[in-house]
Amino acid sequence: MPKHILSSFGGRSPHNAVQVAAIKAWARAALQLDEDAICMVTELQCTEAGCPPLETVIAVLTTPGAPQQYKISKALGDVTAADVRSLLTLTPHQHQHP
Amino acid sequence: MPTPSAETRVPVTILTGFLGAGKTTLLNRILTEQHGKRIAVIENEFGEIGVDQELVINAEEEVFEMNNGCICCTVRGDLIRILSNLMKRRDRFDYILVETTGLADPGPVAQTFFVDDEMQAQVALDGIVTLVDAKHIWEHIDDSQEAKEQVAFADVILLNKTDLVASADLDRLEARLKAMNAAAQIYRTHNARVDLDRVLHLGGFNLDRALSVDPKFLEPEYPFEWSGVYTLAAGDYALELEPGSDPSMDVVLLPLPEASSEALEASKMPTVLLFSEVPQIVHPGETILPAQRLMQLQLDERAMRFLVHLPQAGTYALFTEHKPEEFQARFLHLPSGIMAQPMLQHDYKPDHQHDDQVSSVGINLPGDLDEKRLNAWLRDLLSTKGTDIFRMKGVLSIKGKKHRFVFQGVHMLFDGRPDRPWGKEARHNSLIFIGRHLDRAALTAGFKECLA
Repeated sequence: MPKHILSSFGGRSPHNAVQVAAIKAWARAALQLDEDAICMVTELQCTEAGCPPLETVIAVLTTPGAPQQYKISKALGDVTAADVRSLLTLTPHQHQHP
Repeated sequence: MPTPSAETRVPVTILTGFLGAGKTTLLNRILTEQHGKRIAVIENEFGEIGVDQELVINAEEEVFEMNNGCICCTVRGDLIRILSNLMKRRDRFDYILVETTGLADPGPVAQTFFVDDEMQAQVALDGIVTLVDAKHIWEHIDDSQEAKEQVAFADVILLNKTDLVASADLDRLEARLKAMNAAAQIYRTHNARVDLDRVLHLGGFNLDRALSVDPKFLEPEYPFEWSGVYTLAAGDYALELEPGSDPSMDVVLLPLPEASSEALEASKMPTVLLFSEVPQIVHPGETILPAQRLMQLQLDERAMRFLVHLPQAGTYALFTEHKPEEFQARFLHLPSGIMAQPMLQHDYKPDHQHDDQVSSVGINLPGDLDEKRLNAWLRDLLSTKGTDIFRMKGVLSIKGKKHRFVFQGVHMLFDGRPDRPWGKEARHNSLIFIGRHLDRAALTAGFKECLA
């Protein structure tokens, strides 16, 4: 579930957009993505046991049919450049719901 | 709080409908009409469009899950890629049309416009237009989830090919579609001929438009369709009925303190509770006494007369399961035979009994909402029922906020923003859900708990 549901009904936070842009930039640099690769960032809530309440999902679409996902067990606002850089050492996270 | 600003995002209309329903005909109509818009088209079935369009892009359906196994976070990768590329040529178009394949699930297509902040900042889902083949829909509507979801997701339904179907069948079909999606505008069309302002620039947030479909949509549903208030002398009366649509009719006759709409209103909810009780069976010729209890009049093929005895003069309210005119009901004083006329009467929105699992729930509450409680409720609701909630729209009055908050959602994803100030308009909250297995009572109770 994305952040929007949890965020204020006063409207979308401009800081959120800035943070999303920053995470995308970090991810592009960390994964050395070319200009045509699509990078999406969203914050999801997971209610499954053992999962963190909020996680930030980075989806990368380079070649059709083979999207890659990376997950950081933090709320979007708490993600740092170091978190994203560490993605380089991780394989895409496969998070299975029952 | 950000100041509400004019919409600068590119509007997107999604066209859905089974193969042969007329999507391509409508698309061609939109593209050839002189409307001054530069439209980029994303189509699934290559080569169907017979029009020279500079920006016709072929998509190959590529569904992927942001959260594995969670349909609520499933989006269309192909669309994301195409839209991202399109936005690099933003100056070449001012509207986007997405035509889906006949069997496409509209959920992931719609969710694509909500899932990524950057995407949401550039494009806005304006509306989902579903074409229905009025003649052949019956072959799919009962057992095709895609057909049901295409109807449920729609802002506008075009009942197309009406020339091939009898008027009575069209009425039946329209009633069925309305029962599934009460918020959609339904237009009957031949060759997908429709004014373009009915399908484009709908304004995804425009709940006012949805409510104009059926002004009673946000009213609660009642187990009775009519009530009348009578001021009557003590004595005997007769309630006469002709055969109608139902072999029985539930009624409640109870005393009121006065003949006023306030008194009638005050008796409404207690009567709803009475209607949930086991009724007392009353056969023609038997006597009804005013009481706090539900009575079930047994109706047969003949004209029927039930006796009513009032031990004392006073004001009485009669609540009936069906509208009196459906049974040509007459309330007569005995022995004069003079018809008693209600001092005031009211029609209610009936409880819709239908077989479809897909339905709509509308809730309207005056007052302000507590933001924290609302967030908590929605979070819980969508995490447990998000799969079954296809679409959600709302106009909300948040305590302490000057502007109306408008939003629309698809499954668990949503997009909302402050709209115009409330000004002199009474602050209230309207919420619409369209989905599967919706529990009206639970949704209403949960929403009420969010009031400040």
